[in-house]
Amino acid sequence: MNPTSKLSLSTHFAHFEENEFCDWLSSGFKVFYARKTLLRSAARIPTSPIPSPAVHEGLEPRPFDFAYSLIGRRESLLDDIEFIYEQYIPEDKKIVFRRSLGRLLRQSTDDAQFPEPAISDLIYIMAKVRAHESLESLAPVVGRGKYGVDKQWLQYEAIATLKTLLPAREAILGLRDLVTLQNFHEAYSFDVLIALCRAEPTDWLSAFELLRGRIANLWEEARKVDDAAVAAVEEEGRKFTRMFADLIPTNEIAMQLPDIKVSNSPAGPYASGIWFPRNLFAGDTPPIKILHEESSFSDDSITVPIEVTIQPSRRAIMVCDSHEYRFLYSLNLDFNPEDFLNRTDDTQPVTAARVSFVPLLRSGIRRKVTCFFSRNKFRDSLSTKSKADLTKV
Amino acid sequence: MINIFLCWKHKVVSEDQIKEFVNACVSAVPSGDPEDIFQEVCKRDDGTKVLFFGLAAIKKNKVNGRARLSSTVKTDTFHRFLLARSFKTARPGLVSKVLDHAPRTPDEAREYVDELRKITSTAGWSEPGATLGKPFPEPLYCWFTLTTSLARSVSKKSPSVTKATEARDALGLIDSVDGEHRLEISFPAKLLKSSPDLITARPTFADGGNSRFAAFQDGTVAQTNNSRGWGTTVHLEKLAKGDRDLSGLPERVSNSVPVSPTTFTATYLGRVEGTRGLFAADDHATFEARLRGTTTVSEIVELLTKAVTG
Repeated sequence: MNPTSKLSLSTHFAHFEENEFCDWLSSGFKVFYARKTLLRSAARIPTSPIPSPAVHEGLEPRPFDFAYSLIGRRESLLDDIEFIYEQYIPEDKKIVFRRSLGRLLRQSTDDAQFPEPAISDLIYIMAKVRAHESLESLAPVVGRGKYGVDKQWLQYEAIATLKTLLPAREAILGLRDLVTLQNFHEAYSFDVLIALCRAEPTDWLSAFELLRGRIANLWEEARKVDDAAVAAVEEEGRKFTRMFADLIPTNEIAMQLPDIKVSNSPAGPYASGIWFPRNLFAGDTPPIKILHEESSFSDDSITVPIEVTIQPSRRAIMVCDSHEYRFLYSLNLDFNPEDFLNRTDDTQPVTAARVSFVPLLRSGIRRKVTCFFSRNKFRDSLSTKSKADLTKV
Repeated sequence: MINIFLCWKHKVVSEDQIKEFVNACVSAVPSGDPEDIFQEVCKRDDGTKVLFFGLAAIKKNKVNGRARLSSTVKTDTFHRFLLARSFKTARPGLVSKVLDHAPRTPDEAREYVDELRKITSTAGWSEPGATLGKPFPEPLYCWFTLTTSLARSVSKKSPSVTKATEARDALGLIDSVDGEHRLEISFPAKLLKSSPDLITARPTFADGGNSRFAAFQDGTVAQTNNSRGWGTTVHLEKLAKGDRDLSGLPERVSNSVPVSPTTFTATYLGRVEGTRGLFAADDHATFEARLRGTTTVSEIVELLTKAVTG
């Protein structure tokens, strides 16, 4: 493509609005896949390496119209369109193009002539050109209606695109929307949950609450399949919890954990939600240890031998009981414990090691306060207000 | 044109074949952009392309029958065109995972590798009828190298260079840009021998190579490859550094290879870092000059015209 052609192509796109982009893509896909149908029925191996000149007459219509000569040059059609987007669509029209992808996807549900493979192509192109503006169209299209039922693979492809564009807000919302829709495949529950936790560690609890019912349904469905399916769900639950503990700062776990709603449902651990804290804290080598320490508690300080808290695990949640309170401390040791223990200056608080005081789950207290700790003692940094907020058990 | 000249000069293809090709070009599109001419001359009446590797002297493939051959694709190409729809269709009660196209962290990359291994060790992971090559969705050409050569190349690099980056450079994939994630797809060489539909050849100017394709290179490695019926890729890092010898990996081309889930493997190579060809050291003009050597464009035109019309 010489510079004149490039200018000419860009000039075409300079006049495009959403409608024109939709038309260009839609007719481009239609012509392209009509030709592919021809190809599939043709012999795969050419009998002669040299085409007859006559066969080049009457080539119209060409896929993607004025941009046809750029089609088929790269690894895939998706790359061709990405290349056109990057190189030939003027900067101020790029957002219009990105918006048109979602619009065309929605329109395709009412267009019987729209080629089935092109629906997937649109979803993949959204990831390639980072079309955040179009992500809101994914969930409604693949999570309900005829695509949600007849073309289930589209949901996989939509989730892949949304995951690829995380942690963009639009991608988070797209995944959250999808989970709430009728045709969401519960098989993907753990996958979506970890993706959402990764994208928003400060809001992992709402992701958990969003998906816990789906996970419970998955477990119920697995029981209808066989024992191996149940075991697979349970193993996935354990795997999820390990990944979760590695991924989410202990502080965030401890801060949000008290708000988790766990019941004693007779329907089993998945319906009650207890599977999650059980996987997190129970067993010989739980992802996060709970350390119990009897301590004297006063309004000003808590004295706990720090070796106790550091040596067993770099990731721990510590429970301290006093005669008045039961607190749960999370230790997020994102520094080298050896360096910490060898420190000579204890006068400065270790700000890298924030300790969250969080009321223990079964205490029912919802207040949270934070303090720093030093090697020999916790340095209480409770604000007056925070102290006042503490509620007796 | 320089690659036509190199093929002619080094007798990679016969003079008659060059004449035939050039005449077809002239008949197909009397004037216009050279790339458009190439695209046009390769097109058939149904818009598909004609394969030109038949132009090459098809030498016996001297690869050990037990060897494996490798090609690379982007992760999203694999997910979209090679992974079976049945794998993308969840079944009630059975846990499923979705491969995203761009694992961001080491943890995500490990998960991707685990999941990919799990998928490709399961029967029926590939889309029925899928073929390997380019351009998808209906690949025509499949460019491949020796799996062992690619493995040696990517393992030589320091840990700071991703395997995907080194593979991109060594294979001369100039269109592979910063941030894309690549997979190596490998398959047994014996597949080429056992499939009567598959034609394989040393690549020539007519096989739709990218803009860093050299039909012929000097240098010991490239000469050895040539004598064995293999072409040689242009190593993009060597080009950027101005090395004298640009030879990368041995390469051959075939028509697209049917993917078999039992014998094909997919390995995650990671993220490509940096884009090649953006600077004067390795841009189109520099590469053209390297390819042309001391012969001027007018000399090439004169020699080729004489050969074609003579």
